[in-house]
Amino acid sequence: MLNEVTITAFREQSGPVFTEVVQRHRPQVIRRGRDDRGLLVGLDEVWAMVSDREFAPQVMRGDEGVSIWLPEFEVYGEGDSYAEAKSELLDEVRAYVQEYLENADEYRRTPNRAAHLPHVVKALIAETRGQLEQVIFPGPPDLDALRARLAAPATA
Amino acid sequence: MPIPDKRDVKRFCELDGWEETQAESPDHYRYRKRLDDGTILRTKVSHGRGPICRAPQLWTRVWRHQLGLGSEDEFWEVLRTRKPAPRGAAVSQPAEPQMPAWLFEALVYTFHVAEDEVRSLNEEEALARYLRLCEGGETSA
Repeated sequence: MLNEVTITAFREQSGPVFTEVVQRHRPQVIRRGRDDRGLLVGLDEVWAMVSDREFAPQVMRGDEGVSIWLPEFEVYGEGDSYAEAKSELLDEVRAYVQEYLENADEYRRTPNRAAHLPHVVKALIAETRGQLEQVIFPGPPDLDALRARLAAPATA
Repeated sequence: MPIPDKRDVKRFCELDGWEETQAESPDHYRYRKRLDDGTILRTKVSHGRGPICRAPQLWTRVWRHQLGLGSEDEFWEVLRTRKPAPRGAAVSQPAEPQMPAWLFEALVYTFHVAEDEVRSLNEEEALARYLRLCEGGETSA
Protein backbone atom coordinates (compact mmCIF):
# COMPACT_ATOMS: atom_id res chain seq x y z
CA MET A 1 0.00 0.00 0.00
CA LEU A 2 1.29 3.46 -0.90
CA ASN A 3 2.52 5.57 2.00
CA GLU A 4 1.41 3.11 4.65
CA VAL A 5 3.14 2.42 7.94
CA THR A 6 2.16 0.06 10.72
CA ILE A 7 1.14 1.49 14.05
CA THR A 8 4.29 -0.02 15.53
CA ALA A 9 6.50 1.74 12.99
CA PHE A 10 4.55 4.95 13.51
CA ARG A 11 5.08 4.73 17.26
CA GLU A 12 8.81 4.40 16.72
CA GLN A 13 9.04 7.02 13.95
CA SER A 14 6.23 9.43 14.84
CA GLY A 15 8.44 12.52 14.60
CA PRO A 16 9.73 11.91 11.06
CA VAL A 17 6.31 10.69 9.88
CA PHE A 18 4.66 13.83 11.31
CA THR A 19 7.24 15.99 9.54
CA GLU A 20 6.60 14.14 6.31
CA VAL A 21 2.88 14.75 6.63
CA VAL A 22 2.81 18.32 7.87
CA GLN A 23 5.91 19.90 6.37
CA ARG A 24 6.20 17.89 3.15
CA HIS A 25 2.42 17.67 2.72
CA ARG A 26 2.32 13.91 2.15
CA PRO A 27 -0.66 12.17 3.78
CA GLN A 28 0.26 8.93 5.50
CA VAL A 29 -1.87 5.81 6.01
CA ILE A 30 -1.38 4.18 9.40
CA ARG A 31 -2.43 0.55 9.77
CA ARG A 32 -3.15 -1.40 12.92
CA GLY A 33 -3.65 -5.14 12.53
CA ARG A 34 -5.24 -6.19 9.27
CA ASP A 35 -8.18 -3.83 8.80
CA ASP A 36 -7.89 -0.74 11.00
CA ARG A 37 -6.56 2.15 8.97
CA GLY A 38 -6.29 5.83 9.66
CA LEU A 39 -5.01 8.68 7.55
CA LEU A 40 -2.69 11.32 8.96
CA VAL A 41 -3.12 14.52 6.94
CA GLY A 42 -1.82 18.04 7.48
CA LEU A 43 -4.26 20.84 8.28
CA ASP A 44 -3.39 22.61 5.02
CA GLU A 45 -4.53 19.62 3.00
CA VAL A 46 -7.75 19.15 4.95
CA TRP A 47 -8.45 22.87 4.68
CA ALA A 48 -8.14 22.58 0.90
CA MET A 49 -10.52 19.61 0.91
CA VAL A 50 -13.24 21.58 2.69
CA SER A 51 -12.62 24.89 0.92
CA ASP A 52 -15.89 24.66 -1.00
CA ARG A 53 -17.95 24.31 2.19
CA GLU A 54 -19.34 27.69 3.09
CA PHE A 55 -21.46 29.10 5.85
CA ALA A 56 -24.38 31.44 5.18
CA PRO A 57 -25.70 32.90 8.46
CA GLN A 58 -29.03 34.71 8.18
CA VAL A 59 -29.99 37.77 10.20
CA MET A 60 -33.64 37.89 11.21
CA ARG A 61 -35.70 40.88 12.10
CA GLY A 62 -37.40 41.04 15.45
CA ASP A 63 -39.02 43.79 17.47
CA GLU A 64 -36.37 43.41 20.15
CA GLY A 65 -32.76 42.62 19.43
CA VAL A 66 -31.16 40.58 16.71
CA SER A 67 -31.35 36.89 15.84
CA ILE A 68 -28.90 35.02 13.59
CA TRP A 69 -29.64 31.54 12.28
CA LEU A 70 -26.89 29.30 10.89
CA PRO A 71 -28.57 26.82 8.54
CA GLU A 72 -25.49 24.61 8.12
CA PHE A 73 -25.67 23.51 11.78
CA GLU A 74 -29.26 24.54 12.58
CA VAL A 75 -28.15 26.66 15.54
CA TYR A 76 -28.73 30.30 16.42
CA GLY A 77 -27.52 33.20 18.49
CA GLU A 78 -29.43 36.20 19.81
CA GLY A 79 -28.66 39.43 21.53
CA ASP A 80 -29.69 43.02 22.14
CA SER A 81 -27.26 44.00 19.37
CA TYR A 82 -25.84 42.33 16.28
CA ALA A 83 -22.47 41.94 18.00
CA GLU A 84 -24.06 40.08 20.93
CA ALA A 85 -26.02 37.78 18.64
CA LYS A 86 -22.91 37.06 16.63
CA SER A 87 -20.87 36.26 19.72
CA GLU A 88 -23.55 33.87 20.98
CA LEU A 89 -23.75 32.18 17.60
CA LEU A 90 -19.98 31.62 17.54
CA ASP A 91 -20.22 30.03 20.99
CA GLU A 92 -23.03 27.81 19.68
CA VAL A 93 -20.82 26.73 16.79
CA ARG A 94 -17.99 25.87 19.18
CA ALA A 95 -20.41 23.87 21.37
CA TYR A 96 -21.81 22.03 18.36
CA VAL A 97 -18.37 21.15 16.96
CA GLN A 98 -17.35 19.80 20.35
CA GLU A 99 -20.59 17.82 20.68
CA TYR A 100 -20.23 16.46 17.15
CA LEU A 101 -16.67 15.27 17.73
CA GLU A 102 -17.54 13.73 21.09
CA ASN A 103 -20.37 11.80 19.42
CA ALA A 104 -18.70 11.36 16.02
CA ASP A 105 -19.36 7.64 15.66
CA GLU A 106 -23.07 8.26 16.22
CA TYR A 107 -23.45 11.56 14.34
CA ARG A 108 -21.65 10.34 11.19
CA ARG A 109 -24.43 7.77 10.75
CA THR A 110 -27.31 10.09 11.65
CA PRO A 111 -29.58 11.16 8.75
CA ASN A 112 -29.68 14.84 9.66
CA ARG A 113 -26.09 15.13 10.98
CA ALA A 114 -23.88 13.02 8.69
CA ALA A 115 -23.59 15.73 6.06
CA HIS A 116 -22.41 18.24 8.67
CA LEU A 117 -18.98 16.60 8.99
CA PRO A 118 -17.13 18.68 6.37
CA HIS A 119 -18.50 21.88 7.91
CA VAL A 120 -17.58 20.62 11.37
CA VAL A 121 -14.02 19.97 10.19
CA LYS A 122 -13.87 23.40 8.58
CA ALA A 123 -15.06 25.10 11.76
CA LEU A 124 -12.61 23.04 13.82
CA ILE A 125 -9.64 24.06 11.68
CA ALA A 126 -10.82 27.68 11.57
CA GLU A 127 -11.01 27.76 15.38
CA THR A 128 -7.53 26.20 15.60
CA ARG A 129 -6.24 29.00 13.36
CA GLY A 130 -8.15 31.75 15.15
CA GLN A 131 -10.31 32.34 12.07
CA LEU A 132 -13.69 31.04 13.18
CA GLU A 133 -15.42 34.42 12.94
CA GLN A 134 -14.14 35.06 9.41
CA VAL A 135 -15.18 31.60 8.26
CA ILE A 136 -18.69 31.67 9.74
CA PHE A 137 -19.23 35.29 8.72
CA PRO A 138 -17.59 35.64 5.32
CA GLY A 139 -17.43 39.01 3.62
CA PRO A 140 -19.56 40.30 0.76
CA PRO A 141 -19.66 38.43 -2.53
CA ASP A 142 -18.65 39.94 -5.86
CA LEU A 143 -20.56 43.14 -6.74
CA ASP A 144 -21.41 41.98 -10.27
CA ALA A 145 -23.03 38.85 -8.87
CA LEU A 146 -25.11 41.00 -6.52
CA ARG A 147 -26.21 43.32 -9.33
CA ALA A 148 -27.26 40.30 -11.38
CA ARG A 149 -29.19 38.96 -8.42
CA LEU A 150 -31.06 42.23 -7.94
CA ALA A 151 -31.80 42.51 -11.64
CA ALA A 152 -33.02 38.93 -11.98
CA PRO A 153 -36.64 39.36 -10.72
CA ALA A 154 -37.21 42.37 -13.01
CA THR A 155 -36.10 40.52 -16.13
CA ALA A 156 -37.85 37.26 -15.25
CA MET B 1 -49.60 32.46 16.98
CA PRO B 2 -47.33 33.97 19.63
CA ILE B 3 -43.75 32.91 20.21
CA PRO B 4 -43.93 30.47 23.12
CA ASP B 5 -42.39 31.12 26.49
CA LYS B 6 -39.21 29.32 27.53
CA ARG B 7 -41.28 27.39 30.07
CA ASP B 8 -43.51 26.16 27.23
CA VAL B 9 -40.53 24.78 25.33
CA LYS B 10 -39.11 23.11 28.44
CA ARG B 11 -42.52 21.56 29.08
CA PHE B 12 -42.70 20.47 25.43
CA CYS B 13 -39.33 18.72 25.74
CA GLU B 14 -40.49 16.87 28.85
CA LEU B 15 -43.79 15.75 27.28
CA ASP B 16 -42.15 14.83 23.97
CA GLY B 17 -39.52 12.64 25.64
CA TRP B 18 -36.36 14.69 25.16
CA GLU B 19 -33.28 14.10 27.31
CA GLU B 20 -31.63 17.03 29.02
CA THR B 21 -27.95 16.80 28.18
CA GLN B 22 -25.15 17.52 30.57
CA ALA B 23 -23.26 19.62 28.04
CA GLU B 24 -21.34 22.42 29.67
CA SER B 25 -23.51 25.46 29.08
CA PRO B 26 -23.76 28.16 31.72
CA ASP B 27 -26.61 30.07 30.06
CA HIS B 28 -28.82 27.37 28.60
CA TYR B 29 -30.62 24.12 29.25
CA ARG B 30 -29.84 21.78 26.38
CA TYR B 31 -32.04 18.96 25.13
CA ARG B 32 -31.64 16.10 22.67
CA LYS B 33 -34.02 13.59 21.15
CA ARG B 34 -33.44 10.62 18.85
CA LEU B 35 -36.22 9.77 16.41
CA ASP B 36 -37.02 6.27 15.10
CA ASP B 37 -35.19 6.89 11.81
CA GLY B 38 -32.00 7.82 13.68
CA THR B 39 -32.45 11.57 13.32
CA ILE B 40 -31.01 13.43 16.31
CA LEU B 41 -32.78 16.64 17.27
CA ARG B 42 -31.23 19.19 19.58
CA THR B 43 -32.39 22.45 21.04
CA LYS B 44 -31.63 24.89 23.81
CA VAL B 45 -33.64 26.96 26.25
CA SER B 46 -31.89 29.92 27.81
CA HIS B 47 -32.22 30.48 31.53
CA GLY B 48 -34.72 33.00 32.83
CA ARG B 49 -38.17 33.96 31.64
CA GLY B 50 -39.65 35.33 28.46
CA PRO B 51 -40.14 34.19 24.87
CA ILE B 52 -37.97 31.33 23.61
CA CYS B 53 -36.55 33.63 20.95
CA ARG B 54 -36.89 37.22 19.72
CA ALA B 55 -37.82 36.91 16.03
CA PRO B 56 -40.95 35.14 14.75
CA GLN B 57 -38.96 33.80 11.79
CA LEU B 58 -36.46 32.25 14.18
CA TRP B 59 -39.24 30.52 16.09
CA THR B 60 -40.28 28.97 12.77
CA ARG B 61 -36.73 27.63 12.34
CA VAL B 62 -36.74 26.29 15.88
CA TRP B 63 -39.97 24.28 15.61
CA ARG B 64 -39.20 23.09 12.11
CA HIS B 65 -35.50 22.25 12.31
CA GLN B 66 -34.65 21.89 15.98
CA LEU B 67 -37.90 20.37 17.28
CA GLY B 68 -38.51 18.43 14.06
CA LEU B 69 -42.20 19.35 13.76
CA GLY B 70 -44.29 19.54 10.61
CA SER B 71 -46.27 22.54 11.79
CA GLU B 72 -46.44 25.01 14.64
CA ASP B 73 -49.80 23.53 15.65
CA GLU B 74 -48.03 20.31 16.58
CA PHE B 75 -46.07 22.19 19.24
CA TRP B 76 -49.17 23.58 20.95
CA GLU B 77 -50.97 20.24 20.52
CA VAL B 78 -48.28 18.52 22.60
CA LEU B 79 -48.79 21.04 25.41
CA ARG B 80 -52.57 20.71 25.18
CA THR B 81 -52.83 16.91 25.01
CA ARG B 82 -49.70 16.11 27.04
CA LYS B 83 -48.78 13.51 24.44
CA PRO B 84 -45.62 13.31 22.27
CA ALA B 85 -45.69 14.93 18.84
CA PRO B 86 -46.86 12.70 15.98
CA ARG B 87 -44.03 14.00 13.75
CA GLY B 88 -45.93 14.06 10.47
CA ALA B 89 -44.56 14.96 7.09
CA ALA B 90 -42.65 18.22 6.85
CA VAL B 91 -44.54 21.13 5.31
CA SER B 92 -43.14 23.41 2.65
CA GLN B 93 -41.10 26.35 3.84
CA PRO B 94 -42.56 29.79 3.11
CA ALA B 95 -40.35 32.75 2.31
CA GLU B 96 -39.51 34.75 5.42
CA PRO B 97 -37.85 38.10 6.02
CA GLN B 98 -34.17 37.66 6.64
CA MET B 99 -30.88 38.76 5.15
CA PRO B 100 -27.36 37.35 4.87
CA ALA B 101 -25.14 38.30 7.78
CA TRP B 102 -22.46 39.72 5.47
CA LEU B 103 -25.01 42.23 4.15
CA PHE B 104 -26.03 43.28 7.66
CA GLU B 105 -22.36 43.70 8.64
CA ALA B 106 -21.48 45.67 5.52
CA LEU B 107 -24.29 48.16 6.00
CA VAL B 108 -23.72 48.62 9.72
CA TYR B 109 -19.95 48.41 10.04
CA THR B 110 -18.66 49.48 6.64
CA PHE B 111 -21.25 52.09 5.72
CA HIS B 112 -22.40 52.98 9.25
CA VAL B 113 -26.12 52.67 8.60
CA ALA B 114 -27.94 52.52 11.94
CA GLU B 115 -28.51 48.95 13.14
CA ASP B 116 -32.23 49.62 13.75
CA GLU B 117 -32.60 50.97 10.25
CA VAL B 118 -30.94 47.91 8.72
CA ARG B 119 -33.21 45.63 10.72
CA SER B 120 -36.23 47.36 9.20
CA LEU B 121 -35.14 46.49 5.63
CA ASN B 122 -35.97 43.32 3.77
CA GLU B 123 -33.18 41.57 1.89
CA GLU B 124 -33.92 43.17 -1.47
CA GLU B 125 -34.04 46.66 0.02
CA ALA B 126 -30.83 46.03 1.94
CA LEU B 127 -29.08 44.70 -1.14
CA ALA B 128 -30.15 47.69 -3.23
CA ARG B 129 -28.94 50.05 -0.50
CA TYR B 130 -25.63 48.22 -0.30
CA LEU B 131 -25.07 48.48 -4.06
CA ARG B 132 -25.94 52.20 -4.05
CA LEU B 133 -23.43 52.76 -1.26
CA CYS B 134 -20.75 50.71 -3.03
CA GLU B 135 -21.26 52.57 -6.27
CA GLY B 136 -21.18 55.98 -4.62
CA GLY B 137 -24.77 56.80 -5.52
CA GLU B 138 -25.43 57.35 -1.85
CA THR B 139 -23.02 58.54 0.78
CA SER B 140 -22.58 56.63 4.00
CA ALA B 141 -23.71 57.98 7.36
